Amino acid sequence: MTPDFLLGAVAIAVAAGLFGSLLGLGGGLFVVPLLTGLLGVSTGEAIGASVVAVVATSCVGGSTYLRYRVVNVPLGMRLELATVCGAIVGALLLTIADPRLLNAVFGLVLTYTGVVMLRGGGRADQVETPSGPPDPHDYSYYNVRRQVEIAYRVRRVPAGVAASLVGGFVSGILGVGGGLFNVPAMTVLMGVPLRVAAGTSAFMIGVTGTAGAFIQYAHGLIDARLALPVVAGVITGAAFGPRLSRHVTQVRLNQVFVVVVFVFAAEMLWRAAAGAR
Amino acid sequence: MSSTPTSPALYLILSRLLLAGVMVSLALMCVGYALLEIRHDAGRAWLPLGQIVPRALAGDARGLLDLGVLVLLATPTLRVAAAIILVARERRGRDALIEAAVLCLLALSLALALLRQ
Repeated sequence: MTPDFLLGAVAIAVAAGLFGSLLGLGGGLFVVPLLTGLLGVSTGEAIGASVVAVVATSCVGGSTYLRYRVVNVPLGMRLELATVCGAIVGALLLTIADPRLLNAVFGLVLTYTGVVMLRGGGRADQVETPSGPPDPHDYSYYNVRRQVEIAYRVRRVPAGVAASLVGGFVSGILGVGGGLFNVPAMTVLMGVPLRVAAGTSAFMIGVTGTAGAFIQYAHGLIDARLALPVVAGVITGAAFGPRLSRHVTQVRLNQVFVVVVFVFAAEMLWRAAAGAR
Repeated sequence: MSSTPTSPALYLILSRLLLAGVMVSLALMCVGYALLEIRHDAGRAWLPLGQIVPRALAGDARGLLDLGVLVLLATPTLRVAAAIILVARERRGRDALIEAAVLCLLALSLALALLRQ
């Protein structure tokens, strides 16, 4: 491994860790195209590095979000049960599912998600404030930027769990973190503030990634030499994502997220059209 | 969903556990990589899961590198195990059961990985 390659891999991982932890995505989505496109790493090795990046981003980002108390732990526990189930089923169906059909379906679902998030962007700082008698689904978090405790009520839990099952399935079958489905499921379906959704997703995706990672390791897809610069870079980037999140408005966070959703929706639809996995 | 507020201690313990796991993993990978470079050892491309710990304990560079990866992958699993204990101590039985189910699924995933080797 040349010094140039090492520096390049670290730089890619820093960016993946930063954006992955900021948006609760894991960063794997950024690692594969950048490692293959810029550094000439094979797709198989890049997917292995992507899994490592997802787990490392989740550990570091999740750790910081936990310290800031913007993770909804009880909700995360329920959703991660669904995502892990989905990830295992996805990994098992990997060889028999039609990748074109899957990419087309996920591409369309992501496009719809992006449109819904775009239309709701102006209301991204507003969440359903609990009213009436106390409800077991009432939570709150401290918004550092506005210096106020924000209360919110989690709604439509079964629908959110179902969406997380799909997120886990996508994670298992496509080797991505699943945050791209988890975060919109929490914000659009369940009424969780985007900041908390990103924190909770960062907390969860390491477990989802691990479910598939052991199987990836068994197939020899994880190269420990490549994992070192990826982990070192991700740790650096993921340490800053949650800090940045505290000072960015939810509207801006929503805008960045929508752009990422549309880019990956387009990629999936393109893959469906081209017949690639 | 439980209305019992999650204790600050749970957040802090889980946060520190996750960070500690990543740091141990990074340290092992750095030592393994440094040994590979010092010994000009290309190393085996991949070690079976069962060989990693014995090779690492013997000071093998590739074993240490792969043990670093394994520690990283095991960290979220340890977090789940710790969460079971912590929520059980807070008498949140349903949350403990959910996390126990997650742990079982992760064990299933590991078993599938071992079977495929």
